[in-house]
Amino acid sequence: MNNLIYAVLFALIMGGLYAALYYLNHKTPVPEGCENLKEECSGCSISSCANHPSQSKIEGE
Amino acid sequence: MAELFSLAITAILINNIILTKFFGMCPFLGVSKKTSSAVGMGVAVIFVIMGASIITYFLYHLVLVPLEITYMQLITFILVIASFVQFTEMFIKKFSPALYKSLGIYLPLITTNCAVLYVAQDNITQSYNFIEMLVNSFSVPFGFLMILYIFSCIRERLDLATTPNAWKGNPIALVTAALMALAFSGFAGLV
Repeated sequence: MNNLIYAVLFALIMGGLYAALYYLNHKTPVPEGCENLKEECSGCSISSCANHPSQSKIEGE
Repeated sequence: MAELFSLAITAILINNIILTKFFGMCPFLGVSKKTSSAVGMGVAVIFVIMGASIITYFLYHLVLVPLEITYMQLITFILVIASFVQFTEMFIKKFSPALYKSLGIYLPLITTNCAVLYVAQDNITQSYNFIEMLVNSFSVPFGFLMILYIFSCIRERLDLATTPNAWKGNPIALVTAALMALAFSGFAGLV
């Protein structure tokens, strides 16, 4: 039973850490001259990747 | 010492992560059109794999094993890698704009690179000690960088070659990758 509690607590801590870092990263301003650093990519179909062309379309809409 | 050298040669040449295990195929095809991009991506992968492997190694042995929650290994490693990439991106954005300019665009792509998770898992399943873990965590991404660089050089030359329209782009790249895998299979039995 204790193991299960530890596991849930640990998962929550790790998830919280990721959420906090994600928030802080997106809050940090991009350095000057680096605003449009998109790599042209047509290599795979992972549409969640920030370099995928579909992400630019979403931002543009 | 000989064992560490053997481990490094195996990771770089014999069991190359791209050509024998087919991990990291997305950056292999997507970021290999230019040599400069390939080197940037390779260096970023070395940095992230080394960092994520060290963190996951200690987390496994100092937290998951004592608490007897080793079944949380996979989810923990995924979250550590994703968090580490976010932290790295934030850190270089803040303190090194020049480095961000050269590596920043590759960092989001590394989050989806299963090679990072493979190395973290491999260090645990193979029961490596700390030094072996460090050697493996450097050698595997170094092999990735080496193949990515060679492949990008070939692709730059392929752009200048006469290729049938139907073979242009990814088809000829995949044929090239298959031939490279065949060539590297010759290293089997070296160690």
